[in-house]
Amino acid sequence: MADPRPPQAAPEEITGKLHDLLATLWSRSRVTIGERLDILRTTHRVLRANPGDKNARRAGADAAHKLAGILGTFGLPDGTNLARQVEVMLESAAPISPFDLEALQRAIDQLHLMIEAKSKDAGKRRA
Amino acid sequence: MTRRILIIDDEEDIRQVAGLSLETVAGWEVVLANSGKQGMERAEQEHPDAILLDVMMPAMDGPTTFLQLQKNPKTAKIPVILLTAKVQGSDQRRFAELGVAGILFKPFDPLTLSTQVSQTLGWTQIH
Repeated sequence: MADPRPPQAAPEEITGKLHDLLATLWSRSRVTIGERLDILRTTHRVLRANPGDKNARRAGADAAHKLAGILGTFGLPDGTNLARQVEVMLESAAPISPFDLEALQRAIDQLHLMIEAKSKDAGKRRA
Repeated sequence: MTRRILIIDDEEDIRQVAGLSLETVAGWEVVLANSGKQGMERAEQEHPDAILLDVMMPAMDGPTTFLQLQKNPKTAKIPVILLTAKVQGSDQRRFAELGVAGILFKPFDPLTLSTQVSQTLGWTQIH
């Protein structure tokens, strides 16, 4: 079903216009993205106290899934990869270990930095 | 003739980016729906040339929505492309077996989304 031909690039004028529109859209989506990151922070906090909390894992996996779907679309492919790793960890049947919790905290911190940097870039583009 | 595309996704930022992308790059007319139920109504009212359908949605997910669209004679012939952040092969096979026109993955590139849709559907002209 997949088409082997590479997707064609858009003309430069359209590319610039789309990037401007995406920068504006980012400023609106930033709030939702921040809320999803907050859910991951809550998941981390709850799992640190109770590693067996399935609801926290489910909520965290959903938030990570949504972050994985949107961050790359806004030009943050590394954010998508990180979020996908978090989603896989939280969806796994294996119990959460202290090592997993450290990895989750690192991922949250890195995602936070990426999102902040992107917000600064988008702000410059709109200015 | 301008193409008309219906985007069904519960995530507003995905709907906005995909819509912006298809309108700006390809000049297509975009119709948005935030749930499977609303998508089925819009499909019947708007007669889109194709539907971009998110897989993971609350209440009625993408595969269920697709099967409901197939049951309705007014929407059964509209080609449907699933949009998913699930990258596992087992998920992809399951989606392909439904009989959808294609599968596109999140995150997508806003600059090439319309080309990917065109290629998936065998449309020779983007506009």
